[in-house]
Formats: sequence, structure tokens, C-alpha cells
Amino acid sequence: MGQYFYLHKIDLREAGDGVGLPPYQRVVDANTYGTVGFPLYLKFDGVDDWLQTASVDFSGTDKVLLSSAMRKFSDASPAVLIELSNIYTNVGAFALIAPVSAASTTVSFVSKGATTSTTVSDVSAVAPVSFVSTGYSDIGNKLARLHANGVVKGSSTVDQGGGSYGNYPLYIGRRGGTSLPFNGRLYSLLIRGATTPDATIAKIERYLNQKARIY
Amino acid sequence: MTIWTHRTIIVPDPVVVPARMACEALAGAGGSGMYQTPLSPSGDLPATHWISSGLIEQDFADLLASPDALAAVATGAGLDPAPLVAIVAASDITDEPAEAAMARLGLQLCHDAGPPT
Repeated sequence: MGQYFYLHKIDLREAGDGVGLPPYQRVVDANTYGTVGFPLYLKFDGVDDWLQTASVDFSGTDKVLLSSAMRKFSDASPAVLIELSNIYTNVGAFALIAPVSAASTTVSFVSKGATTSTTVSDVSAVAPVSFVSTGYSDIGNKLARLHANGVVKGSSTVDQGGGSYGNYPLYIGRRGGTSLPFNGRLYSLLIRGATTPDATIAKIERYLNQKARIY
Repeated sequence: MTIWTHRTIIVPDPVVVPARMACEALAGAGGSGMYQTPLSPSGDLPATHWISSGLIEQDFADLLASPDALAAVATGAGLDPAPLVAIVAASDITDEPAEAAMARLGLQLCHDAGPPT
């Protein structure tokens, strides 16, 4: 009697949210949910979420590696994910910006030496999208480079004017805690103020990806 | 165990200063730094509204939903309850995502920081 249909092995996962994630997450309410097998992350709502550290002293180096596992939810407005000081107003700063301008499908790494900033971008980062994104800059050797998911997406040989990085607070999720709010997730973050060979960058990216399960 | 619940709170500019003070007075350090993100219909300054969005304690969400309970707590804390109740009445308080609440009210984030790079 009647007609029947069966739904079998439904996959309710958000497309492109990662690889090897469990097929189902038990969610009872905002305070009760399954976590086993799911990467942990900080969720930034693109409105008012941000973090700030005490000043971090990078003044002894002109090289920096900034690697993060992240998911960008929106391309609507420029947003700062990570920034040492303020790349727009201060020298010796660096930043990971996603996106770099309104309605822009970018993730950009920006470094600024004593005088000039240089920006390297992945222009194909259409939200929603996840990355292990790594910026590397060597001010003295006039190099800035951006990797996304283990692939070099852009490089620059612009002269940043010499000098070193500064001793500033690190902001996460917003510029200075007041503007350019990031809309997305931060799974992990690693910053290193030293020469970092390609083999080490690859190893770091594999480690961050292992935690975030992005690709 | 503290129970958390999501709220998006949009406060009109004329009452934002007392709203910030009230949050800090009632919630202590956890209530500081509220309503620091400016909104306006065009996205240009000056702000017409200010927003906070995220998880708050269920107890505070219950207070915001009940003028009588809010007045009782304010009186107990030695505060005049009338201004607090008026601020809450003038504000938009929902469990909607921030984007949905802003869209419903015709508001945008103000972009006040100049170029990002």
C-alpha cells in the first residue's frame, strides 16, 4: 500500500569544506555537538570579532614567514586576517588580507620594509574557499612570495626600502581591532621571523593542512 | 555550566554611549568593548547605528528579552532602570546572523579605514 522512497547515504557536508571530514556531525544546540574528526577553528563573523597580542618583537629580523590555515566566507569587503601593526600606516609591518578590496576574489600577503609595501596575491580565491596560505618575505633580498595550498601564487621583487620588521602588537581578525573585519575561519597560524627554506615551508604547510584537512 | 546563545544587537547611535556603559556596569569586564562597529545605510560615516554580534550568556539574553527582569536587576545594582529599558526598547536584538539583521534594517558596515594596503 502506498509508495515508498528511500534516501541512502545522504552527504550533508558543505561542499569544499575540507577533505576526510566525517559525513555527519551531531548537533543538538549551540552548546552540544560532536567534535570528533572535525578540525577546530576560530570563527570570525566579519563584524566585530578579533584578537590582539602584546607587542611581538620582530626588530631583529628582515625575514618573516606567515602561514595560516583559513577559510574565507566573503569577498564583499576588504578584510584583515593577520596583521603586525598596520601595513597602511606603519613601516616594518606585514599582513595577510582576505580579500584585499571590495568584491575581490583575493588572498594577499603584504610586507612593508623601511619605505615601501609590496603585495602578492592569489586572485583566484573565490569565497567560500579554504587555504593553507603562506606569505614569505625577505626585505634585504627584495623578495615577497605567496603560496596557497602548497603552490606559489605570486612573487615580488619590489624593493621595500631595507630595514627590518617592527615591535608591534599582532592583530587577528581585524585591523587594529577596529576595522576591516575578517569573515571566515582560522584553523591555525604560524609566524616565524627567520630565513625559511622552501623545504621547511612545505613541511609547515603539510603540518597545518594535516590539522585543518583543507586539501 | 554557562549556557551561551547567539545574539545580534544593533543600537542606535544616540544611545550607544549609555548602552556601552550599561553593558560594562551589568556584566563587568565581559561587557566591555560592546557596540564598537559602526553602521550606516550607505556604509559611509557618520554611523547611525552600532553593532555587536556573537555569543552571550543565556542569562543576559533572558534579561534583554524581559523589561521587568532587566528593571529588577538594574534596581538591584543601584541603577535607574528606566534608561536601560529605553535603550533595550530602541535596539534591535535578535538571534539572526549579523548580515541578516543588517540587511533587514538597511544598514551596512562603515568602511572608515582607507585602503587596506
